[in-house]
Amino acid sequence: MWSSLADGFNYLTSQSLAGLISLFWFTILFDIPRYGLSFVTAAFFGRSNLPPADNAYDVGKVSVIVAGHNEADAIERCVQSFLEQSRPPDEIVVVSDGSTDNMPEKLKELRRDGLIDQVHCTHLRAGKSAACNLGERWSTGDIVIIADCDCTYERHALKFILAPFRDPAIGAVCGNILVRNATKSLVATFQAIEYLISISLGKQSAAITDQVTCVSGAFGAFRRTALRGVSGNDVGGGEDLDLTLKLRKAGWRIAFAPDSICFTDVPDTLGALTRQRFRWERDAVRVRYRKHADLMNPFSSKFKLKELIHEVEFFVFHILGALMLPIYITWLCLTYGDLALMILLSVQMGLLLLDLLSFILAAWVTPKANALSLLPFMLGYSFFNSFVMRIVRLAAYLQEWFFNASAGDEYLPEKVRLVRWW
Amino acid sequence: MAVAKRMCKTSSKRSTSTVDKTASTASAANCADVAQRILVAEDSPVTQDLLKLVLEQRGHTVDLAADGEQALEALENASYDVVLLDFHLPKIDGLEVASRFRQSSTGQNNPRFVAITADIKGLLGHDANCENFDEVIPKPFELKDVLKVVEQKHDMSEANPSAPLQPEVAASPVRTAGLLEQKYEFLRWPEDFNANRLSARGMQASLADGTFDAIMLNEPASVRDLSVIWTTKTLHLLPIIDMTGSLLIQTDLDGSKIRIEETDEIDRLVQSFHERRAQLHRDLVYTDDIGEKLLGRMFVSGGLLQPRYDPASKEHMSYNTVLDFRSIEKEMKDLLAKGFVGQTFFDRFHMCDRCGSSHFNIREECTECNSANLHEEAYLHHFKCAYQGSESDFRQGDDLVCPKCRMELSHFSVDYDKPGSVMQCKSCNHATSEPDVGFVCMDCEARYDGNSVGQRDVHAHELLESGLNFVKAGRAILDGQNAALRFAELPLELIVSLNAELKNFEAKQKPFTLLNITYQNRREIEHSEGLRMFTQSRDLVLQNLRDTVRKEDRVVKGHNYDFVLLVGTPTGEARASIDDLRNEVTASLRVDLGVQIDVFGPKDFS
Repeated sequence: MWSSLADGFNYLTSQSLAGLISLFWFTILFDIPRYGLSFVTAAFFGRSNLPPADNAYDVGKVSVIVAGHNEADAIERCVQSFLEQSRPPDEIVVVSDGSTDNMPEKLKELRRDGLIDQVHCTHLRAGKSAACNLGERWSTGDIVIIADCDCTYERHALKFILAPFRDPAIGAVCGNILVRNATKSLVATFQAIEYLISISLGKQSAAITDQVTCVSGAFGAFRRTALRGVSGNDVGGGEDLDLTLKLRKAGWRIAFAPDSICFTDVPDTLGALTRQRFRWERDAVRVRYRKHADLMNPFSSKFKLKELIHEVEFFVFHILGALMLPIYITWLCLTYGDLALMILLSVQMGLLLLDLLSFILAAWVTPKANALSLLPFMLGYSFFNSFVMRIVRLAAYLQEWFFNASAGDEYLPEKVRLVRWW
Repeated sequence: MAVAKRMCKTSSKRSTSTVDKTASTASAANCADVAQRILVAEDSPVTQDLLKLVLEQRGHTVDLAADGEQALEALENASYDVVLLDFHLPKIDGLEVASRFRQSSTGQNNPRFVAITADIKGLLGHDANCENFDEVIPKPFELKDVLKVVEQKHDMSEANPSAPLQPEVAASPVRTAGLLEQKYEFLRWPEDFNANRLSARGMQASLADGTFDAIMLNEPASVRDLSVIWTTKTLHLLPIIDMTGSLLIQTDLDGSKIRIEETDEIDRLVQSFHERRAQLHRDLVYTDDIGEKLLGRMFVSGGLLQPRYDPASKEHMSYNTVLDFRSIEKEMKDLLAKGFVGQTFFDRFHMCDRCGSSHFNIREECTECNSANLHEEAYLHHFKCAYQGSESDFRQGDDLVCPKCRMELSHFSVDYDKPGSVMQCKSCNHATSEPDVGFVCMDCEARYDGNSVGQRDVHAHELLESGLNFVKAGRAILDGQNAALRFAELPLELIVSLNAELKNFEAKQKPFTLLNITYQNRREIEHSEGLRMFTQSRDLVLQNLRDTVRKEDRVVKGHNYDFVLLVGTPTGEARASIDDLRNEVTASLRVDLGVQIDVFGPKDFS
């Protein structure tokens, strides 16, 4: 084996530029550009474009809406997290979405103790979108923050997420998401790194070019006029992506607040992770290419170049990237036989370098994350990201294409799923 | 002048001249408001004369009849307003007269029939009297009672002169009370006592004078009005008959509905109280302690302290005793701890912590402003566009139209559903699906919610065996031994002798022994053979003892126990021969009294 490795090494180093390109076309097309953009913008601007966070009380009344199903155990901690904020919310509205545990009793208790302002409990589960819409219908704030029950929030999260609203063109602000249970398992640790790079670094650079396409449902702030203008959430399965795209279509700009940090627990087993990512990918595909298909259609009135960029980007790097991988590997094996392994390894080495650089950059622009502890896991992460995650994505697309898996998505109540047209 | 004229007319009938003369000197000031025509049917001439004199003085017209026949004749010939009839008349008795007259009368202008009789029992025993007599005056009568009856305004007979009294019409409580007072001895409220003091009669009753049968309430009273029952001795052991129906739960009999022929119930009540009172130990009869009084009351009234729902009371319930709730609660707690009473759960009431009342207005209220002005609406969820709001958001006339996507909703559970309801406050616009339950105290206006409102548990209480023993045996039982002696209980002459012996003992070491004779089977004997048998047997025992002991020894009869003081006899010696003594004194008895002799020496009195 070592001899073939040595052979491979020699082979590679003897290539010309054109030769290298033809060898590494996959990586050149589907990996490097992905890094490149974030690299450049982040390195260039760093954190200098962040607005000062001194307008927290000037934005008007701030309502927090939390909707949950069977979250009796988690809700108190979530509410306390908001009460601990340096800029506390003016109103907390909690919706129990058809809970069958004692979440309603818990909410009554919290209300009696004066910790929350409004309590709405329904007997029938409606799904997260409808539950959030219910909360929003009765909330009275100028800025509406939609948050998840099982998340906790860093003390200054509200202060920082409100900062971008000083710009009247901003319709929504995306909060930063970090992983709370990173030490639970290797899979969780890899996701911690992934979130740091793809959300923290990725969205910061995207924000510079106004390419933030998804305000996470776990933590996002919306100008009420913007939210009402696009009629709130639509039926779920990617409702956060959908809402953001609707806002973008309506002309609102979307900001990202890297210092506004929300902590969440991620799936700690590969199986759970796979299911989650299957759902995310399916939702993304459906929302982008069915519900908002008009963004790809040059003849539609909604068509904008700016939107086309991220639509295409998603298509190329996510979908094509996943589809092409097996093709590339097969071609490599067929063309180069024994050398294929070496080539792949060398590819991976290159990517590792890029990942490492991205990681350092991400750590630099997210001072509050405990990045150093994640460093030793970079090697594993690199492999994990390049191969495992791509395969997961591929499987997700195939499952959706051939088996229409979205129709059986448990995340949404069936009565709602049945009437969803995309 | 008119009076004199009438006098002249009646004077043609049977009347003595002396009466005439006296009648004509009647002073106008003494006259009644309305002159009545009266027929007096009475066989005693003295009574005849008296009644005629008095009534004519008042301006009434009086005719006399000496027997039943004459009375009937008089009734047929003239019309009268009032007929005073003696029950026992020669030829035809008063009852016959009245009933015959009623049968034959046209029903127009019937006079009022008043029975005057010494035989109240006989009168009460007759079923028919109610139909025939409007009033009863017992003999010997008070003239003022007669006048009162004759001259009282009788609206009923004026309004409906034809109709004889129907049995269904309840006798007025005042009349009945008057009647009952002939049969029983009542302590009356408010005549004989008020909240603070007793009349002379009241005092008499509080000395456990056995002549008093019950307390009668003649005017509406509250529990507080009757508090003197608990602050004096023994009155709490009398049954309470409420003639006004104002304290029905707390009293023992509703007298407002009792009719003349229903006195059986009263008989039973009074009798049972008497019997049970006799069984009460004098400790409890004369006690000042409210707890012991309450025990006594429970015992004489049947052993149960029963709560009942009572909307008139602040606590929404009342016990069957005329004592305020707070006192009962306090004493019961004590008695429970002592093991004298048991408790059975009755109900749980909400209670205002501030004033103790259970009067609440309970309703849902806004969690923000506490207003009860809430409007309920359904949540409505439109599946297709994920809009979830209140039903009024969707209502447009008859139709339901989604405010977000403008689609008309037509198919429940397919297009939309209603997952719950929201309460909208009309005062402050706050909305929630979970309103508070607000309690507002009607007496002091304090406000509570479902979690903070106080609660009070109410129990029924029954006398337990140890409680029963206590009420029958007195405080002696508290020491745990039946044989315990209490110095204060000893008869006075015995105490004097004991003191002398004790001095002798201290000075000269002269021994003595006190024997305490108790009769264990007293209750059984009294019950099976009668009180008389017990008393006789006991006296026999005492006589035997006197015959047995020496001259210098003393045999003393006590209240419940008897004593023998053996002068100069050491305790040990006495103890040894106790059995022999007992056998000797009880040998001649017909019944087994369960004689027990306890021995006490000088040391027991130190």
